Amino acid sequence: MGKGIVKLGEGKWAVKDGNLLAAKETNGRFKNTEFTVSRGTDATYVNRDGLIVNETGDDTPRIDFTDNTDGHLLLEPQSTNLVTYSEDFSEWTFLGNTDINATNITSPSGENNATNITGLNGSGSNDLRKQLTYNTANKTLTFSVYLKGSGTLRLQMSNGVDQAFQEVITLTNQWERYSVSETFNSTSVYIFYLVIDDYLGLTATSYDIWGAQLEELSYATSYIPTNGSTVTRDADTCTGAGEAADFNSEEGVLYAEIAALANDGGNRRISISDGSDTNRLNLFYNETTNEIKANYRVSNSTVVTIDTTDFNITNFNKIAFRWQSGNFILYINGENKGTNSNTTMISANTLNVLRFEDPNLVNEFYGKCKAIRVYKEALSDTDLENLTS
Amino acid sequence: MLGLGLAISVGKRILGGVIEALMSTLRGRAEYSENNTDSKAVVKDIDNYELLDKATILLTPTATSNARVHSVKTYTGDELVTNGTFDTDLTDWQISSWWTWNALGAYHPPTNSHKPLYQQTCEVGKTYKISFDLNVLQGSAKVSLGTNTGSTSQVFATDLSTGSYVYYIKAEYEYIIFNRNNASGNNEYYLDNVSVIDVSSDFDFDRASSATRINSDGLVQDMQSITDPELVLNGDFEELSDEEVTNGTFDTDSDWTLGSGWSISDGKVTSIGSNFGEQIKQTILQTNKIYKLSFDIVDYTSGNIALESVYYGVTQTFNGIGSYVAYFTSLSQTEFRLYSQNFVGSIDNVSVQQVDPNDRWSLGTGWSIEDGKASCDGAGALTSQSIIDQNKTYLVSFDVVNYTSGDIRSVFSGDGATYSENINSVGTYTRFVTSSITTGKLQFYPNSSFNGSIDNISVKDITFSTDVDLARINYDSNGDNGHILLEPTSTNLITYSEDFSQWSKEATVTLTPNYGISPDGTQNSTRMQMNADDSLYISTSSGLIASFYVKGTLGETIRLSNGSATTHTLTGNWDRVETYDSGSVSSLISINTYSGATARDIEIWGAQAEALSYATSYIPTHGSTVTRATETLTGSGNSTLINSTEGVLYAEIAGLVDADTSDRVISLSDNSITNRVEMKLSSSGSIQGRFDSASSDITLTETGLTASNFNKIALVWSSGKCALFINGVKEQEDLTFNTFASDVLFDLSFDSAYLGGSSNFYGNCKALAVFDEALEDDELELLTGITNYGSFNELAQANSYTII
Repeated sequence: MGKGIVKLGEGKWAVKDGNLLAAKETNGRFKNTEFTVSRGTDATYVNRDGLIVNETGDDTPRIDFTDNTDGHLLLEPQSTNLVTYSEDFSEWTFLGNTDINATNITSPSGENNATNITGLNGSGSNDLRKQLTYNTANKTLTFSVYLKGSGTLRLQMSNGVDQAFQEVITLTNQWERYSVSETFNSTSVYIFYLVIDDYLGLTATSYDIWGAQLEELSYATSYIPTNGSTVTRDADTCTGAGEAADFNSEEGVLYAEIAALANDGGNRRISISDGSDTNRLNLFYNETTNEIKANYRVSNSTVVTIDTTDFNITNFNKIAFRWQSGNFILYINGENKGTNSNTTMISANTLNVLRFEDPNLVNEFYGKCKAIRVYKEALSDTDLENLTS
Repeated sequence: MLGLGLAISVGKRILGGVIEALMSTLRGRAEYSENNTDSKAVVKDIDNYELLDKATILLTPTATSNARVHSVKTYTGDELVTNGTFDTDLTDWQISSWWTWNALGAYHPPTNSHKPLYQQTCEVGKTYKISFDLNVLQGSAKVSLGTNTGSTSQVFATDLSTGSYVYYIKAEYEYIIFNRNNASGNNEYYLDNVSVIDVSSDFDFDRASSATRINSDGLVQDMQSITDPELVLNGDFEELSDEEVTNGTFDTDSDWTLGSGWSISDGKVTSIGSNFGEQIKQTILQTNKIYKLSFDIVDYTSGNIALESVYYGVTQTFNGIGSYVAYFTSLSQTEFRLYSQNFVGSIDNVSVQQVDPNDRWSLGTGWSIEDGKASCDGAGALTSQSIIDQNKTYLVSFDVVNYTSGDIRSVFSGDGATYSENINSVGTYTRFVTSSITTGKLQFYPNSSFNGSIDNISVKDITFSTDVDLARINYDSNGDNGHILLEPTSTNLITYSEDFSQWSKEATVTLTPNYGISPDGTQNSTRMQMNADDSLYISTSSGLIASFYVKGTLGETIRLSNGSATTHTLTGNWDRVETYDSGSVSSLISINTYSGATARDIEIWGAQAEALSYATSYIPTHGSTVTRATETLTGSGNSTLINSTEGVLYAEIAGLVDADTSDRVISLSDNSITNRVEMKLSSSGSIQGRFDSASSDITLTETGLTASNFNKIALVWSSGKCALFINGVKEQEDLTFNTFASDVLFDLSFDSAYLGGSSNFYGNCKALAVFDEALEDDELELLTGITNYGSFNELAQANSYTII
């Protein structure tokens, strides 16, 4: 009672072009502690109805409901869909018996713009493919596409010379996004193929297809529609929530329920700072696979670091980091993952901003966030256990 | 700690809505209550922040009494006297054997000895409202606070005679004591309805004069008009007596004397005709009084019902089914008679009520009262009761509602020199009159003759009183934004603030008095028609700021000169225009069209010149300068309501000016220079919090805010900390404060015990609160902030978000 808690999410979301609403809740009253959001381009997300929709506000944050009903903030790096016709498969090449049977199939967007492909018989010679003029040398690529049907299919990326990466997938009667990711060798090529076929013995005879995407990333990001040219979605940034009155520099708790987009080796940070790198605290994913880390930095010196690799970071984890003189602790999913008795503390009234990045505008947090809470008091171990369970 | 505030609120919540309970209790104990909706909103906001329980004193601009301003909290209303009504005995009182019980109350038999009756009711340091009734048979009574032996120590009422009494006393002792007043001669009285209630959160208010305010209708109003009743009684001529007739609905065959051919049955009285002159009657009249008769003819065949001239001077006849109203004068009759002129039919619902039953008016020749107005067709006088005192200024107003011929004039009886002008048309008429007679009556005298009717007669004593200790709840001109207004003393140096005929003017200026509705809501504005380079002017002395009200065509301009000059663009509404001349003592105030001012036809009212740097509330004058006395609001709190070691002083206030000549201070203190928390609108224009304890003296200063705007300010202190919050922001903080010792702060006042009277708080106050604990920063942010909401969705909608 009496001390406010800065809150984001937890099923309560409000957005507008340029801002994501967070609120400091004190005694049941709500004060605006909004984030500033920028992206600069359209982007898609899965709405509350499970449909993929385009967010037309260039700087409107995306609340994505993929696989959950509470929604999560989706923050992604810049990415380009190198497939120039992501939905118009008449622009693709048909080999063997494959052909378009229909183009008015209801797609994951809810529109009647998916395509039904027929002519597969397991012979391995019935391909739907897209030929791209693209040099794969040393590139890590991810090919993704939405498919629906029954039986098995093969997805393949091939440089046409000495490398082809593939996944055999099993279709269902629901739209699902399938992908294949790999890093190509240094062979320079100029022709590159995306292939969907009935490789020897595969059983699908027809399928519905929509939303093909090729990205220079190790994982698939949100769908980027194209129609004749490549399209780039810019990176999301989410910064600048709160002010000094909203944070307690001397003690408190930063809580987050977050998931990484991938174990991609990126340094993905949430910070509370004085606006510089001098005084800050972080929750973040590190270069180490599945590492979750918290640190506390005073006058340019990191005095507390607590980390763990006990959890799959691509799952949503409930993480709480308490800072208090002599009483630091990191709780994840109800478990104490480390303590620190540091007594060197950031001075009172110093911390003044919450960001999904480091204060020096690097190490952006790309991932999913269901909830953030910043407490102005050091919760007890029991409270933290309950909070993160 | 279960603070006092919490204990109270918990109790109230059990009984019902805490806010409703607070406001209802407040209204119940105040003589005047207004601005309830806004005040309730203030309380509700604090409750929404979950802070109401922590407020031990909460003042909003809503409840006042003579010399008191009542706080919303903390007032329990709990009666502290047991058996104060002496219903059956003197139980719970400590008495000498002298006192006895009587059905009239506690009886103090004749004696000149000290025979106390007393009860423990008070705590030292708290302020109490003490009330009781006395019926003194001989000698007089004395009331005091004292000790458990009945020894009187703090005498606050002596030589009391019969009457009801109310006192506000800060207790120095615990027992209330009644005894004899004089040691010589017998003192004998009955005591009843003794009440003692803790009112420690209330304020003492003082202003040794009247003052004006903007009321909730947006009109300039003299506070005297609230405290002083309308002097004319039955000025609308609507007063009627209770029903005189018994059994006017003929439910039973009784009470009436029935003449031949009359009978009562079926809930009506019936006449069968052929009975000219036969009556129904009751002896219910006083002689020479006017009565209003109403009745229904419910069945009708032929003939008339009549009031006969032989009894009432004039014959009035009625026939046909319908409802009828008639007025008649009883002359020498005590019997009310309805006369049959061979009436065949039935009547019902007979009612007779005396007109002007309390004889508020004397009717001279030709005057009568009918239909809610006084009518004249002769040359006599219509005379009020004695209502006029010598050397007082009165505002007389009335309506001529019908006019046929002749002239009517108003005059104070015996003061023939002050006849009004002759009035000979329908309209509303107002007149300021200063009485030269010792006592007098208002009279309406035809000038030779008058045939017409008048109504809505009013006489208000507008002498700027020296004793109107009613605090002002002031509003914006649209009637919004109620706040307590506290001002310094000021004198209107213009001797005729509303009568511009007393001003000098250039020849081409034409003035028409009583032209339109002025800012005070009456038809007393003056129309001023002029050419270019015209002026209306008056000499003054020592005036620095001049102001007046003006109304004219939107977009045109008018000029007010006072050494300096202000050209004002008219808005089409009443505007108050000010001009300040800091460089010299002006000697001439001028309303003019110099320097290209474009207005040619305006209304003006309420001119004022003051020796201040800013205009204060309007001070009406009618022939001499008038001074409004300074206002003080002091004396709330005690060491229970004010926690010395930690707490919050909160106020939503605005200065009268950005930077006044002295600091304007609201303080918590020990009423000395030793311990104080002071909220200041400083003379430099900054907002300050000063925390001065025995071992710390810290001043926190915030500049950059406009002190004349309403700001929400909170001062918080606790061991090792003090801070200044303004409008949701912790502007300043000091972490070295050595806080006050326990129980040293006990006084909450709109002044500074340290700085003295020169630093009284003059300004506007929408809310004031004391909290008995140091609220969290976030709570202070809420309390002083303006942008917080009751839910996430409300916050989102207010900030134009799309809720996902």
